[in-house]
Amino acid sequence: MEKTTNTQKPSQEVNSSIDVSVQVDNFDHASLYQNLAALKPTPGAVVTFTGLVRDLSSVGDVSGIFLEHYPGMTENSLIAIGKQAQQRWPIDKIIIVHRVGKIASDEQIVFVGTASKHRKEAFLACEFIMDYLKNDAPFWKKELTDDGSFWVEAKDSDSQAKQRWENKN
Amino acid sequence: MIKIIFFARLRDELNCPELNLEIKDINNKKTITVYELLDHLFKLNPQWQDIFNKRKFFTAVNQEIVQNNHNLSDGDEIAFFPPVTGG
Repeated sequence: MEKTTNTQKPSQEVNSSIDVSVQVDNFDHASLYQNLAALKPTPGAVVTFTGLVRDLSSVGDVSGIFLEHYPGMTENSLIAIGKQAQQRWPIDKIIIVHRVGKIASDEQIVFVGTASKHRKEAFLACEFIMDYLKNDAPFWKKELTDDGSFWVEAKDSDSQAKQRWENKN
Repeated sequence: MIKIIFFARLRDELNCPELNLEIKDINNKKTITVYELLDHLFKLNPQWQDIFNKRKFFTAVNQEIVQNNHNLSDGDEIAFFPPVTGG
């Protein structure tokens, strides 16, 4: 482990380095990345994850999805997940963007970006945030097909992915 | 008054996005548990019991997840919803 002279940041500062947006509009991946890469001092690592709407699922061809959320609780849940990541790893900044409403196949749904001094923490925090988002953030997805629309079932593999992190602590 | 909101598939199956109730109309106490609220809702709408029982659901009070023995008071916002499926 590398030595660091930084002291623990006060909690209100921790919160200020988590940007959360729940929005109907698509997002520009390049500018979100730039927002992280342009931090001063320059982070040694930026990791980004982007989720896309698949065009094929268990119900067949999907023309798109509809995402519902719980305004207020959803944003607070994403901030709480970001804070948990920051309690585990030294992360300089976290950006979480999640779209809601109708989203066509192949479009972007979710963005998680993490910036830190070294790559390991940025990788781990990004994956942790997605695993917790999948289980804890109040979003509900409906798949739109030619045969109608179907609410998506929660997957055991998603809850196992979260459980993995809880077993580590 | 308490505000009750339903989300996603649960709302579609109940065919009810939200409703308002007075705790004093449910019993004579100032507070009731989520269990007691659900019992009251099932008395008002008997077909709701099967819908709640057939799948897992979560309860949030004032936008925080709670257990169903949580005590509700006047002014609370109670939300019921299925397991989440974002990302």
